[in-house]
Amino acid sequence: MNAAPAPFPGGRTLAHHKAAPLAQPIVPAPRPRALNLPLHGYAGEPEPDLEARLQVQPGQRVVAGELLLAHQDDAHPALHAPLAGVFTGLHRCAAPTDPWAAAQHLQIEVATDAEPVQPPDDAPADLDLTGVSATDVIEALKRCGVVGLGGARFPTAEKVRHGQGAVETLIINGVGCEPYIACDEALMYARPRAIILGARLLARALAARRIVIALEDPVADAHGSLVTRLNDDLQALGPVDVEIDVVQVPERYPQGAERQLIQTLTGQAIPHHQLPQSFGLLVSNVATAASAFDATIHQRPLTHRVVTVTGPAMAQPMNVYAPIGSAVADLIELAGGRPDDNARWVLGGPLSGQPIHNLAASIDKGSLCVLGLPEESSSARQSPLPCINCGFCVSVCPAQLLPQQLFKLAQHGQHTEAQALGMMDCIECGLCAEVCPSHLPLVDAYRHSKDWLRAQQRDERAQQRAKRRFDARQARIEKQQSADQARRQARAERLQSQAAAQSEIEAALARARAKKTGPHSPTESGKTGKTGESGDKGNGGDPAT
Amino acid sequence: MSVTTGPHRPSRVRVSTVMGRVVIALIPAVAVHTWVFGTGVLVQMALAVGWAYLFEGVMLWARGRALGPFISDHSAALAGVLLALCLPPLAPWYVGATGMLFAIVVAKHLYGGLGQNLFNPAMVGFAVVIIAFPESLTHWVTPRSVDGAVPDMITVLRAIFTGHLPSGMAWDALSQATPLDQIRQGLAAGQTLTEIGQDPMFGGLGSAGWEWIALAYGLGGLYLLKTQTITWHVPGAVVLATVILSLPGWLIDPDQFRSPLQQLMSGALVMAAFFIATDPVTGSATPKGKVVFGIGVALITLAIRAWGGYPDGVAFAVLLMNLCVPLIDAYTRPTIFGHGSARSASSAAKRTERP
Ligand code: SF4
Ligand code: SF4
Repeated sequence: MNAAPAPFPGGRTLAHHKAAPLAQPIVPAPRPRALNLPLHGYAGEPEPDLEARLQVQPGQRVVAGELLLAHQDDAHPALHAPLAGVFTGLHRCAAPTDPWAAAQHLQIEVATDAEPVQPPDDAPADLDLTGVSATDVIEALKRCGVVGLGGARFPTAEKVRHGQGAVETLIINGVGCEPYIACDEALMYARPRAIILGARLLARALAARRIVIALEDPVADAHGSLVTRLNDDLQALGPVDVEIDVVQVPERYPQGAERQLIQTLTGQAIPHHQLPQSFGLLVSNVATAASAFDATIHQRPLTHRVVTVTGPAMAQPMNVYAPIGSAVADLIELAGGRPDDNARWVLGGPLSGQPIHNLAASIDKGSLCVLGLPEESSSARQSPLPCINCGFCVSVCPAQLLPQQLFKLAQHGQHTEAQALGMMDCIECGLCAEVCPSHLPLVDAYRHSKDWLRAQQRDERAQQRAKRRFDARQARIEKQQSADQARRQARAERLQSQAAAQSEIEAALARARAKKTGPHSPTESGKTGKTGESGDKGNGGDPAT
Repeated sequence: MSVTTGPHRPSRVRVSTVMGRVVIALIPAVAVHTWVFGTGVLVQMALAVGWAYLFEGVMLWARGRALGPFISDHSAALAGVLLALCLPPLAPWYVGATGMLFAIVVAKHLYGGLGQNLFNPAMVGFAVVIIAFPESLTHWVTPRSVDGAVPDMITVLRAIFTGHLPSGMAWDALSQATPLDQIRQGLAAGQTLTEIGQDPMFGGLGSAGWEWIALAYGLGGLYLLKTQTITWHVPGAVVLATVILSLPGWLIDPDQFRSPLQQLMSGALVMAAFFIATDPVTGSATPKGKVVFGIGVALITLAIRAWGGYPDGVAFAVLLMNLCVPLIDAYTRPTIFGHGSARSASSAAKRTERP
């Protein structure tokens, strides 16, 4: 794996714009007045069984780190109060990037004396991990609500449980390939040992044999090499049972995307419908690893994350240690931006991020970056022209799709045709839109199309489920009916055979009476009756079993 | 607060940039063309671009489209420049006008405008004038390198605007058949290529004057490749296919078959390779398809040159290949990431079993 990495197809080398936020250490967010913790699972669906899982009553005081929402069946992680205050209840407010979807939020009125939480120190060099079992790690991940912090928010406990035994190599993803987003680098500078130890804990839970920490090291010149840093810490932490490598990958967007990273490190191209686990691999973000460390060793719930607040619209770009549920507008102000500026506010990076429709909306565990790009005046901003089939998008597409054809199909609502051409293979990296000379909103069209397809699949699955239920019910009814039928028949037969026995007896008696001879006839008829009865029992018993 | 959809950082390379780059890349060819054949090409170009904007404006208005963004994309102007470069420098004005009428009004706007046309507009225009004005198209100015002079501006303007030469000048003195035409007629008359090739019009590389223009197109093409405005697929395929297809015949019988070099250096093949067959709108969308498209253009051009009724077949070759694009695209789709040679999950799992 240390051999010259094989490049993934497509992609583009972009200016990283990361030096500014990395010029200072991670800044703790000041105490906010209120926090609105978004309630939506990793797939964006509403949280199930909200009432039953809620651990606090409206109006109840909560302390920092207190459990608000209990974990449920691995897919729905626990949620904790980032700061002390009063839980005021469930609030429906707009999701930041989707103006039409109102999402449920848990609202906390933060206590006036609540101390802002400082970013945790790095792990000590002499920490002993012996005695921590796989179960300890998974339980801690569950308890502390650890999810994938690279943006996907997939519950880590679930991911680890699925990968257990199947994963040979754990890849720790520190490749923050998208321009401006510097939260992963900030964390690697601040807490390299926590990341390494967290990775070891995850590897232990997975029974993985090796760990590869992959990164780009974009600001090595200005701020020192991360590769050296991590290697030094590996030395300092001493020999361990797993093999750990630090691999620097070439700077190329979207190098940090899961499948592109795997391709670069292993040469294995994994299609969208297969999981890395099937190939003995699992990718986890550096922040997730650090969070796994905090959860397992310090029982610290995941209540804060590092968010890069940056872009030309910010006077002082920075990495903020922000409580989950912080308002985007507060973060912008902290970094010296003006929320009422005519800027283009983006949640996420400049390529794959989504425009923020409501700055009062709050960040969740998967928010990497708040980006403020200057909005060109409307005259400079050209309205989209038709696609000229220039093929620029084809050359950069890392999924090797024909973005212009997908776009046309999506625009015409031919989503099923688009799916046949690989719509679901699109990783929404946004490169095609960025190089398009016609300025077409390609990725927006794909998101719409994919939503449509997923809804369709959900519908289909619901229909199938309904059909399965119906069929099962039908089968049950039929079985019941045939059982009844059999029982009825059996009874009828029994009655009949009793009647037959009776009549035989009578006939025999009659014969006996008529002949007045030998006494063995009744025995014979008794036998017949007996056989009939046992046959009855067998028939009657069968359907019931 | 304004909320607009992506892209968040719209590309600074716009459609007008792309078209502009192509025009810039044509500068060397236009310069050499002017040197070889005189200022006629410049006048033709000015007229054709003028017609292009006029027809474009009228059609946008007629179709109720916004004038601003579309007229400033320069695609119409590019079509004008390309057509002008194909016309004989002294062709009367209505030849270019007819060409542009069909290029912009019919080939482009009646098919839905920018990005929607099936056929290369400049080539539609050129094909129409080849058929409509065969006579005008045979009067090619004798290259400077052959008779040491090119027509002066007065002659050029008179010829273009009145269709006549100034008194005392004859077409025969000023013009000659193109080398391609000469070969076609010579071969038809039973001459061998060696005999035909004695004429000074065949220059050093197979076509006096034309060869330098072809090289200038190549130079401009390199600029397009360097700026990644085009990919290597189309020009590479056209040039390589031309060489490979014409090589065997030439090796077997150089008296009947032209050398690959002469094929490339005469006529419009290099121009087509870098500037016509690379038209994105009417070309294939896929990398493999672009190669197929380029091979097709070379193949049909050579076939028309060898057996067809026209001395050069580039325009028809491109139009025929335009016709095949949907088919080519359907069969040359790239393999989606992970779908092709990907080892199956089970075999990979087995692989990881190995200690
Ligand atoms: S980059 Fe834009 S204009 Fe070019 S082919 Fe792709 S979608 Fe069409
Ligand atoms: S957003 Fe999708 S279609 Fe566009 S380049 Fe990325 S993977 Fe390809």
